[in-house]
Amino acid sequence: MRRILAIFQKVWVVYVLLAVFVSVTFLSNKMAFQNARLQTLSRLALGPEYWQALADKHGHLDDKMLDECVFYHRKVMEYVPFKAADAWNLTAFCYYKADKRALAGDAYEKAIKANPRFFWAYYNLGIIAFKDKKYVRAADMFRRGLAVDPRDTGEAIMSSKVYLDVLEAFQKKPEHVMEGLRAGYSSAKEMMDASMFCQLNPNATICTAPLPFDIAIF
Amino acid sequence: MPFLWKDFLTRRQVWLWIALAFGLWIAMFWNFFAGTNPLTSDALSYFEHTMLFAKTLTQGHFPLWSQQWAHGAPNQFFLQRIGCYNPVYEWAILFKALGASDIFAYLLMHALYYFLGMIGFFLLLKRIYSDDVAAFTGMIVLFFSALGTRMFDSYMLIIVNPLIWFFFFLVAFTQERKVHFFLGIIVTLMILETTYIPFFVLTILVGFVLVFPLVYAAQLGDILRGYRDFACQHKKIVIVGALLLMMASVPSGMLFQKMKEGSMALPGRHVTSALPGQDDALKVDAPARLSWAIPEDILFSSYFWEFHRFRLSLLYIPFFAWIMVCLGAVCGLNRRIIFYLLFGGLFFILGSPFVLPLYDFLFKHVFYFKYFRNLHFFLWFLLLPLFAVLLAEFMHQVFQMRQDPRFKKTGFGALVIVVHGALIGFLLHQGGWAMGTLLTVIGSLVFFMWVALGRAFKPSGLIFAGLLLIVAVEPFQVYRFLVKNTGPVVQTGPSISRPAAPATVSGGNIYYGSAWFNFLNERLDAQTIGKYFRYRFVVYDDVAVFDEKAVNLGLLVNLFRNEVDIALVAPGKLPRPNIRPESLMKHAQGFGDSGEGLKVLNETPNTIRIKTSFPVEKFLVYNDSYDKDWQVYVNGRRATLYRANVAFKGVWLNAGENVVEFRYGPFVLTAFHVLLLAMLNVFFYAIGWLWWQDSRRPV
Repeated sequence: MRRILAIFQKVWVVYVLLAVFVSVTFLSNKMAFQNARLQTLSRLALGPEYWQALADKHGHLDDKMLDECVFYHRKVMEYVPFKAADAWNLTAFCYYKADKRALAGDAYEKAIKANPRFFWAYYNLGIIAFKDKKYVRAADMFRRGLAVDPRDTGEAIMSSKVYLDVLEAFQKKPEHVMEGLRAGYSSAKEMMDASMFCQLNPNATICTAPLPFDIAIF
Repeated sequence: MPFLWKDFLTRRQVWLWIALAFGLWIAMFWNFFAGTNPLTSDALSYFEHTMLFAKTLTQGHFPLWSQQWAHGAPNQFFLQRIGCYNPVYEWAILFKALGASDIFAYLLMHALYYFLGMIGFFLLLKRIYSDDVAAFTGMIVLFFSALGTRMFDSYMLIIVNPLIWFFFFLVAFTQERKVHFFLGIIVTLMILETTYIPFFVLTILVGFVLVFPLVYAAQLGDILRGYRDFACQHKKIVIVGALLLMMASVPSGMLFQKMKEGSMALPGRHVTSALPGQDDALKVDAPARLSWAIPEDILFSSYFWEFHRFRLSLLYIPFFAWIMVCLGAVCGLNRRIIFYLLFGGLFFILGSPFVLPLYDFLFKHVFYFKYFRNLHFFLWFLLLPLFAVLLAEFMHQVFQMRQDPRFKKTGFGALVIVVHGALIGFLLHQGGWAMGTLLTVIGSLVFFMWVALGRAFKPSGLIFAGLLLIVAVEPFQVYRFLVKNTGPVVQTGPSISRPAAPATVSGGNIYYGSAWFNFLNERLDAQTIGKYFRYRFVVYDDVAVFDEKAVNLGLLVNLFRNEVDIALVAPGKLPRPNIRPESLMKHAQGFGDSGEGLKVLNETPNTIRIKTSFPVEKFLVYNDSYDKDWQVYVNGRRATLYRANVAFKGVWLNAGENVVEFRYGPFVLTAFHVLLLAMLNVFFYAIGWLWWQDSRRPV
């Protein structure tokens, strides 16, 4: 009996009790725990130097900045799963700005899977495909993007804190969102036509010259 | 008794390894000392305030007023923040005098203070365990944790160091009731009382007093009887100690009172729309209170366990600590461990508002809980050091088990292999681990296998060297990442060393300043404020009463922008109640430090003397914040100081030459501060001298 008691007079018993306490606490305070996670997420948010690099047409993200961008959006996906599409879209944008087009493409695919009614994911993937001379795919992406109701995209942006933070960092107003979409749809039509043309005439000037359009967030 | 080097090198060689650990630490963070990596966040303002204070002291002044901050503010707030009476600040003065740069002098002072704190921690652990190995283990785990990095982005160490020494002196005094230990308790409490917001420490001490009797009820009677006997034998010393503690509470009390008056504003802590004089600036608003607590700090820090992203403000404990936690599972549960867990648990709950509503309860029922925020500070002030004490307990028990003739080598060896194997498996599963972490685990495996299977041994240099290597290898890598990731900080606002030029002071929020200046700053646009602050002094022919209850912003803007020759004064007795019409059409005269009719003769932080010469009677406004503790003397005679132009100082001047002197605070106040500083210095070094004397006495 004494031996059995001696086994329980060890620190491991405290560990077990602590584990039970912590589990009960977190299970009964899920909302508070989620709030704590969101607080930490806001502290991880990317600083102005990132958005300046992203907003600039010739801006570039170095490896360190890319790592922070990817890490932050990964955490957004983990803590706010219903914002996964937004996080993938912005992750893709970071990859693109770090000259990692293949990874950007993969991320846009995941964004489309998470939210098939977001114009910019298709548009950006179409641009990437066109630059990679994958004209069939590019045409398909632009066609699918044009099929998305622009109001769905506008609503998705305006209801997402992730995007609103970016909007603020880019010093854009909400009306820029619809303006951007109008321009985007117009470009997408042109790019779809160009993609179909380039399928047949891959050596034409239009297919080899630098693109007048680039990927966009909004 | 002569000092024996041989004795020191053999029996006290742990000190050599402690010194080596200090050297390693300096090497890890040398970039900060060299000025390559900048200080950030609060550390930057603390550095500026500290060095300004040091510089002012060397010039023979105790700076009760800060002209640079928000166009003038009582400096007591900043002096309290840095704990200006702390004798270690004189070390920075000494280093400066020896030719060090400001940043090197400041950081070296802080580093030595940190080392002193760690020596205190080592001695505390030695007192508890009488075991050099356990004490060394606890000390180096704490030393190489992220606690030391807080000197580069925060001010926590100015509280942690004296807190550690307080507990050392308390334990030492309880074990051996000697005068120098008692004085140590008094001095550390004085330093803690006069540093920052003492409510954190007060809460920790209250918590200690509540938890200790629960666990040590049987010993409490003897302890208190021992204290009583000491008090009876050393009445004078106890009375002096009590008086010193009362003296040290005066600055905090004065600051508290000043804030309650409503004459100061701290918009970041306490947003108020009340008129100045109606609110307590020190109270903390709910969002500021609860926005970041212990769980958030731990969770946020956990994001960076891959280390290559490591930066400042993150909680980090050397991986060796977790090995000890695992091995500690087989240690016996004793009173000390229960005390550590209860004491630590209480503050973990207090610092985690969503766990249990303890903080909410205390906020409602204990007045001073309305005056502090940053609950996560308890993690750094108490929980981290307490965790290191617990690790020392585990190491002590492991070595005690080893010395026990009934010790089962193979059983312990198997446990060591299982624990280390599980940890390696965990690291491999997680991925992204640092090489230093793996080396720690391997080194620890070798170390504990040697402990388990080797012959019985005494603490030796090999053990200290092994422990130092095992604990420090991972931090060495982690802090290399930290140094690499700590980029240059972009300063966007004015600071002590770079006071804002008048034109740059705009409607942005101030951090701390006079309530009336804050009132102006929040309501007037940048152009108006910029235009007004072109001049340090403005001279008017006329004054008008300013109605505080119904602020006419349009009038203010008009008067300031057009520099109309009418000053506004707060309601009071005015020599000339009626405004002359011609004043509305004329411009006031503005001056910098000198001009035709006005010259600054000399100035110190607390005074300014100017000479004026105008052909007619004038009303002088000095654009430095008004405070009721300012006095003005004209030609040596006390004159009435008005609150002019809403927030600044004004005085009437007769025609002709006048020497005007503005003085802040009565002489008694300055003398009190200097006396307190002197007393702390005297007792600080007296403790060291008495202790040295006591150690040389034959046993």
